[in-house]
Amino acid sequence: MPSRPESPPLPGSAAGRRAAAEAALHRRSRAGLGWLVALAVAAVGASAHGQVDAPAAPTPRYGGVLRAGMQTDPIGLDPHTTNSTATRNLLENVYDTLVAFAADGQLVPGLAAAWTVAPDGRVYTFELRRGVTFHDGAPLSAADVVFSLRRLKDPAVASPRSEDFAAIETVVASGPHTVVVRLRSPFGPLLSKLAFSMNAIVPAHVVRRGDELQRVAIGTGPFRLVDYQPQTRLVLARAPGYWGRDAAGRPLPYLDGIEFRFFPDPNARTLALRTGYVDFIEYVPAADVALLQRQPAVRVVGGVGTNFRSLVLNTRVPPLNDARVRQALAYAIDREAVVAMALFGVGGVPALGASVPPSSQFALRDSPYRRRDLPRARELLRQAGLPTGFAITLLCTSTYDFLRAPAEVLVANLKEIGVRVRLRVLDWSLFLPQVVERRFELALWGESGLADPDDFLFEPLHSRGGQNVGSFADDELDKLLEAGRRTPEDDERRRIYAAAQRRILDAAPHVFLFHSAQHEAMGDSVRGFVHYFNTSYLGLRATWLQRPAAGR
Amino acid sequence: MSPARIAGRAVGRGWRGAVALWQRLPHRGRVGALLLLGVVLAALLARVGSPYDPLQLDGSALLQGPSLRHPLGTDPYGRDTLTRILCGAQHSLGTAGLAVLWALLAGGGAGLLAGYYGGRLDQLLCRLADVLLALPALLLCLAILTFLDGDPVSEGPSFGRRYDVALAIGVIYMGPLLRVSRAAVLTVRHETYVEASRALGATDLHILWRTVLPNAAAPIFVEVTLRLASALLAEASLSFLGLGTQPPEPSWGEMIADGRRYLLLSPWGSLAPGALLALVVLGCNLLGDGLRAALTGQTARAVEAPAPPGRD
Repeated sequence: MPSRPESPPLPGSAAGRRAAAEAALHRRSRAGLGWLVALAVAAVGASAHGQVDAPAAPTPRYGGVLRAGMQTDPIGLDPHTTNSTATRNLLENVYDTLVAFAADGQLVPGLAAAWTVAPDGRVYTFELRRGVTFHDGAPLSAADVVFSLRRLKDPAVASPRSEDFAAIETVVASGPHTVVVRLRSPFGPLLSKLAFSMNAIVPAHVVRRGDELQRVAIGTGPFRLVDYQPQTRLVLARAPGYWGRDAAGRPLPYLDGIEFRFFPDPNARTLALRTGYVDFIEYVPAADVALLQRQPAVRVVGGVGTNFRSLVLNTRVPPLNDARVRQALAYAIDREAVVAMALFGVGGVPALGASVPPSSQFALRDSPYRRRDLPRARELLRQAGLPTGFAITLLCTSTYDFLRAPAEVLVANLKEIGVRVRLRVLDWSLFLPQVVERRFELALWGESGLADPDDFLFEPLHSRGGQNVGSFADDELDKLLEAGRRTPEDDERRRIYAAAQRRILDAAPHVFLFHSAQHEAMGDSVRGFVHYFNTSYLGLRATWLQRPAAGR
Repeated sequence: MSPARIAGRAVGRGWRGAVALWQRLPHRGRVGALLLLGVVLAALLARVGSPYDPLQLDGSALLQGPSLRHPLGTDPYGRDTLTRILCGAQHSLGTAGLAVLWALLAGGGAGLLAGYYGGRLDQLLCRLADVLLALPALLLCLAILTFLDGDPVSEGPSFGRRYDVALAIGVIYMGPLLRVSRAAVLTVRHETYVEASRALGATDLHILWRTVLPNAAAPIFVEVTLRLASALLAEASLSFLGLGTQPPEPSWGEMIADGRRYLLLSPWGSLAPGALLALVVLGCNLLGDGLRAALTGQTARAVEAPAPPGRD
C-alpha cells in the first residue's frame, strides 16, 4: 500500500502562477500519473520506516497547543450514531478502536493488543491491552468492548453502520481482558470495519448511569474533550496516562492540547493559516494547494483519498434504464478535463476503473471509458433509438466544491453527443434527501470508504445496498459482491472483485469520474503529522510543535 | 404652478424631447447615462462581437490572467471572462429591467388609480403596499422563487427561470413604486387644469392618461431609474445564492460566487463581474440623480450641487 511522504511531490508544486495557468490539460493529467508513480515509489520508503515520523527527524518536543482550522462543526458527538466526517475527525483522538488503521491503510493493534481468527473465519478472539483507563479514571475492561459492539448493533441506537456488524452472532467477554466475537458466516471486512474510528469503544459505566454520549465524550484516546462552543471551537487537552508510545518508547501525545476552530469558508481557512491565526488547516481547497506550496513557511501534505466521485444515473428512469444510453454517457465524458478544470489538476485523479480507489490492491485500472470516445457514444445512442440525444436534469450540490465544479464540464461534454443537460444546483440539506429518496435523473455523487473493496462496492451497487441511490440491480453482481464478503483469501477476492468491477463498468450504473485528493496544510513549526489515506486525523497523535505559539 | 410641473412638461416628446432632456441633464447624469448605454451596447454586441463562446470549454487556456487574447483572463474552465461578463450583462440587465418594468406596470399603475380615485380603493391599495414593504425584501424574493420553481419534491408553476426571477424581484418594488406614483398623482389631482379637463367632459381614462400622468411622470421616472440599480443588485444576490440564472449560463452574481473558489489564485473571476456590477449600479444612481435634477428642479445634494448646466 502506498503512503504519502511528508512533503509530497504534488503536481505543480514548483510551478508559478503563469506555469500553472499555461499548463494544458494533457500536461496536467500526465503530472497526475507521475504523481501516482511517485506514490508507489514513496510506498517502498514509507514501509521501511515506522508509521510515525519522517527519517532523520529531530527528537519530538513536548508541549504546546495546536490550533487547527477545521471546515465544520461536528454533527452530534455520539460516535456510534453519526456518519459525519467532521465528528470523526474531531473525536477520533478522544476515542480508540479495537484495531486501527496505520497511515498506509494497514491494520495495527488498537485497544486489542492481539487477536486470533479461527480457521473457519467465524470466531475472532481479541486480547485487550492491559492498564488502559478511560478519561474518568475507570479501567477499560472486556465488558466495555462487549457493550460497545452490542450498542453498534442495537436497533434502538440506530447506528448508520449497524449493517456492517449484521454478521456478528454473539459478542461475549470470556475473561476480564478477552472478547470473543462469533459470526454467523465468515465476513472478510470485519477487522477493517472495527478499525473505523467511529466504531469506538465507549465506557459502559458512563452510558449506563444515563449520560448522553451526545453531550459527553469519555474515551481512552490521547486527548480528552474539554470544551465545545458550537461554531466557534472545540478544545481537547492531553489525557494523562494514555497508553500509546512512539517508536522510541516515549509517551504520546506530545501536544498539551488541540484547539479546533471552525472556518466553513475555504478562503478564510487558507488565510487563517497564512496569517498565522492557526497552525494547521484541513481540506485545503484544490485552488489553494499550489498557492500554499509556494509559501516558504507552509507545508502541504495529502494525496488521493479512499473515495470515488461519480455521475450516478437513476437506472429506473428512461432513457437511463437502457445500458447503451448509460455507456454512451460514460464514453462522452472527458475525465481528464474534469480533473484539470474542476479540480485545478490537484484535487483528484481521473478514474481509470470503477469505484475502488487506485490506492487499493483490488482496484481495476483498465476501464473501457478511460479514453473519451465520441463516435462510440453517438453510435450507442443511435442504437438505443436516440440519434438526436435527449434532455435531462443533472442534480448537484453547491455545498461541496468537488460535487459542483465538475458539472460545467459534464454539461459541455454531453452537449457534444446531443444530450441537453439542465443543471439544478441545491444546498446539501436539499440535495441529500432528494438523492437518497431517488428523485433525480443524473446526480453528482461521491462516497468514501476505508480500505476494503467492499466499502466501495457493496453499499453503492448491490441491489440491497443502502447507498444504491441509482436503484441498480444486477443478480450476477449481487452474487459476486456477496462472495467477496465471504471470502477471506486475498487472491480469490482479487478475482471476484475484478469480475465485479468489470460487470459494473459494463452495465455503467455510474459514470466514474475521479477520486478526490485531500490535503492538509500546516506551518513549519508543526512536525510529525502524517497524512492518512482515509481522511483520518489519527496523525495528530504523534504531532508536535517545534515552536508553540506564544500565549495563543 | 410648482416648478416640478413646469419642468416635467417642458421636456416634451420624441427626439426633440430627448435632446432637450440631455441638455438639461447635469454632468453626473450624463456620465451615468453613458455608462449604462455603453454596457447595454456591449452586452448586445457580445455574442456577435466576441471570438469566444461563453459556454465553450477550452483546455488550453485554464485560469489565465489578463492578456491581449483574454483581456480579463479566463476561468478554470478556460472560458473568456470578458465574454462571460458581457453575456452575463444580458441576463442581469434583462432580468432587472423586466423586474422594474413589471413593478412599474403593476405598482405604478395601482398608485395612479389609488391617487386619482382615493377613498376605499386608495386605502386598500396602500395597505397592500404596506404589507409588501413590511416583508424583508430578499426573503420575500426567496419565498416567491421557491413557490414558482417548486421544492425538490415537485415542480412549481414556473414561467421559466428568468421570468420567475424578474417576477420575484418586481414584487418587492411594487410597494415603493405604488407609493411614489400615488404621491405624484396627489400633487396634481386637484390642479385647475385637471378640473378644466373634467369640465370639458373628458373621461377618467383620458384625464389619467393625457393630463395627470404626463405631469406626474417625473418622480416616477426617477424612481424607476433608482430601482433599476437595486433590482440589479437583487438579481446578483439571488444568482450569488444560486437561485437566479442557472449555470452554466453566465450572470454576474453567479460569476462572483463561482470566482470565490479560486479568489486567492486568480481574483479576476470575481473582481471583474463585481466591478462591472458596481459600475452599472453607479451609472443607474448617477442617471437617477441627474434625472431628478433635470426633471424636478430638485437635487439630492441641494446644498453643494452646482446649478444644472447652462439651460435658459
